[in-house]
Amino acid sequence: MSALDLVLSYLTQPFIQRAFVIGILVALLSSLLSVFIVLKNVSLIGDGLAHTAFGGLAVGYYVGFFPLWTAAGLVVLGSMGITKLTRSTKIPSDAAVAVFLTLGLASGILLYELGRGFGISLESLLFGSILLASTNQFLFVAAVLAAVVALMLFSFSKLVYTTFNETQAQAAGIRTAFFDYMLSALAGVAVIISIPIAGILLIAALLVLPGLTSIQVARSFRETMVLSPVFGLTSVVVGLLVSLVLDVAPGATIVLSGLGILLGVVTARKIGEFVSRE
Amino acid sequence: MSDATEPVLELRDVAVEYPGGIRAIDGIRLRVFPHDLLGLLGPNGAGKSTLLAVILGLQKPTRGSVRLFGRPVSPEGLRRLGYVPQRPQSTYPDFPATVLETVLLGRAARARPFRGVTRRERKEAEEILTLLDIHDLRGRRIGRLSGGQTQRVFVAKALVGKPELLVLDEPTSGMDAQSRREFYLMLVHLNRDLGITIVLTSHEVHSVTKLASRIAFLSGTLLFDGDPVAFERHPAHIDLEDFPEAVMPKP
Repeated sequence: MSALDLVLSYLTQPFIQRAFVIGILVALLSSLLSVFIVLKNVSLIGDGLAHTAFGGLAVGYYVGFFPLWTAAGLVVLGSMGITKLTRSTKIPSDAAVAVFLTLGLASGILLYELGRGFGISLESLLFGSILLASTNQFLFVAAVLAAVVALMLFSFSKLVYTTFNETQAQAAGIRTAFFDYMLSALAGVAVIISIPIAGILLIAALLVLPGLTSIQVARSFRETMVLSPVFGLTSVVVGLLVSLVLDVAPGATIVLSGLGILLGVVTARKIGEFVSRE
Repeated sequence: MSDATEPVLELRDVAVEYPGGIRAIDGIRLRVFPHDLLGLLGPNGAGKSTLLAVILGLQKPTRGSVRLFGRPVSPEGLRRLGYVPQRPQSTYPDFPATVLETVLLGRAARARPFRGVTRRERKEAEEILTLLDIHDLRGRRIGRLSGGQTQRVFVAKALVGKPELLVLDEPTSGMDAQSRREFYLMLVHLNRDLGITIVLTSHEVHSVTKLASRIAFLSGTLLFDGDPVAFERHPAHIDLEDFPEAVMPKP
């Protein structure tokens, strides 16, 4: 059986189809946020929040209370905490992220050990698993995507101005703190719903690579916002297909696809610049 | 619109002290009236940027108060003010926005929820680009412009918000002589022909005393506030003219 036949046979399976649909929604959500996260120089926030989510899931499993909800609550609190630390005490945002990252990871490992593993696959949580894509999760992701798009449209130009330059936006009468907290909270929600597909260790890449890639080639902000989901979507679909062919966890293949696209785009841009100079 | 007899901006005995007892500005009393073109002069370290930060609500005064359009500084008041920062080209140089998109950010504070840029707003922005002689740059990325061009784009961004008061922080720093002259002529046009009140900080004594309708001289405290001709006879003028880049001691 060729690789193509194998993939086509997989794609007839409902749970694989569900994983692709969820993956596409996750790609759309994270790549829309990714533009703002990269431009605000808070690219590590996804990492910090993913590790906070690990701590949150471990708390949920340990006390026996809806792990995803516990994780969601702690991640939103963590996102508020990171923003608060960065804004009020003027500590660098990477240090604020590091505080929450290590707190989440340490408490997660401690509770995982104390709970003797909770009978769950740690590997699936860390690297993602198509098997974790459920119908409930599809509905949850779709609702979150709709809410995020609505929130962004509600105040798009203010969010862009705050990202462009916070001091200037504040001097123009925009309440920039609100948009800082909003972006962090949305990043937290994106992290939570992306865990099953991308896994805790690789989730941050979904919140960075699409935006970073689009910024390399876009000639305007509008183009950046269009290209970012295109790159995000491509990396998720290609990554899922490769993971099926190789029978490995999807997180790594999605991230490597995204990195491949970034490398290709940067190379193409450099060649273009070289040719136009000649 | 502002009443011509009421100040658009009033500073009442404003002082700012940083941790460690460092006093940046002290006892500042200043009133700016509609149609003024106020040149706020002073050497480096005189407190000009601190004073602007207080006016823009970015820095709380340790003592005293600021009134913008007759009320304490608030987001609503700031929406009637246009601000042009110092060296805006240092703003994220790779930000992927065109000149036109950057200029349209000037309407963001007044933008209604769920409303994108209207055809009328785009037309107004293009007219402002034409007015400032940078219309041909509208499709270029903001980070790819010269210092002088970027400064004009930021003035255009401030004007798109239809400000009654335009505040500029050392807008010509880093510009060559020709660009500086053109920039100052543009400010005079905005003030005299369009009636926009302007406050501009600078340490370029010659140029600013020629174009301003009023001069305020700052060196920690306000040492002079009055007519540009009278300022030319003031001792502070001579000090600043001789050592324009010098850091003058606080009195």
